[in-house]
Amino acid sequence: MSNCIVEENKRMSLNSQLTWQDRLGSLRVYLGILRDNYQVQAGLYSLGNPSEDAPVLVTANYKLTVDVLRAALQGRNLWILVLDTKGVNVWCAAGKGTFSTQAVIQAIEENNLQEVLTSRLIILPQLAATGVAAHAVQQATGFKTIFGPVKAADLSEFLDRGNHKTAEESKITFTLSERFLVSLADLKNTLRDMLVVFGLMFCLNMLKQDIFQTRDAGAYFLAIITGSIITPLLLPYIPVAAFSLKGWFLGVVLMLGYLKLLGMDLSALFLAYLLIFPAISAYYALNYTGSSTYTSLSGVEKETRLAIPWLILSLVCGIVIFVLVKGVG
Amino acid sequence: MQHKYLKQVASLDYHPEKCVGCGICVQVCPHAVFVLNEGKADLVDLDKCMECGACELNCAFAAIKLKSGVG
Repeated sequence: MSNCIVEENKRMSLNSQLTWQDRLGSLRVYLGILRDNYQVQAGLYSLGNPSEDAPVLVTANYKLTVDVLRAALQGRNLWILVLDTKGVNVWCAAGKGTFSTQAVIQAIEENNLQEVLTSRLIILPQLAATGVAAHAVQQATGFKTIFGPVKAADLSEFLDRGNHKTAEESKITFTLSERFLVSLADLKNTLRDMLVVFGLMFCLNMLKQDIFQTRDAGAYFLAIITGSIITPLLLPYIPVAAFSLKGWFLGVVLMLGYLKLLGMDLSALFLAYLLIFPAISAYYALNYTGSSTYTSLSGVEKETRLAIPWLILSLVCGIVIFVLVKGVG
Repeated sequence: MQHKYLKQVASLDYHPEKCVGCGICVQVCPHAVFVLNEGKADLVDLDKCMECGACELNCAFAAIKLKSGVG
């Protein structure tokens, strides 16, 4: 358990100062080391020195979430009700059902809030709204239940304004750094795919020498990085809406650059490269819809239905040409 | 730079006759799909809808229906 929690008289408290251990822990989680089980014990915490009539903020028990929240509330005196979301952040937990109407009601009851506190105000993070019906919590517990801003950083001003948020504070962003950080989250799976393909290339080379050369592995690596990292970074600047098209477009541009760099002439092999690798970039870009903060399921389904047959066709044609070239040559 | 996704696919179905103008949909929507206008919610930007389902779940008057995905 982290040192952010002090137990006094059986009441747990949080402080707003992040230590270097907290920051190191956050960095580790971002880098994907020890990602699992980065949790805070669920329950009612005091932050600062709250009175019985101070409002209650509800949050998830992912330690990064709790760290961001407490750091944003320096100098405040509030109650923080941490739900057991199994170490998952607010938005994902709300989507997956652990940050739900029922979970909030249950936590209010289990922690005896009706008796411990005289305040009757619950402030939920806005992104919990996909899992929590505020009116249902209010009905079941008698606590007035409202949604705060999307970002913890806006909470202080929200509270100062008398629990009122601006239209801007209700909007979710998807900035360059946010796009980059979530692209890293999927990198582990992507690297696993890559190892399998490199392994396969190596085995096939054992059967017949020089089927694959370093430049093939390089092209594959470039295609994957293009789809899973470069496309996310350039997302709003690629002038098409569908993620697969964004990835394909960038895949073509970068593959042309790569082939030019290699000095490869227009040939059947050149065509094979253009059929195979941009399709791979497109696939990984399509995959990134799952990490974005603005794609709808209906849109992703439509895009997937339209794109996948073309990507497979392109890939198969490219591989057939590649095999023919290698077989003859 | 604004993010834009596919147009005219969002499954959001709004019944303004059920709306009482409480404004909760405006508060929970992360993409400002609704605005409050003369005591009623106005659906102003359907193409921004990501079908997160927050408005549907929080509308106590069942004025919003959609097919929602996992957030």
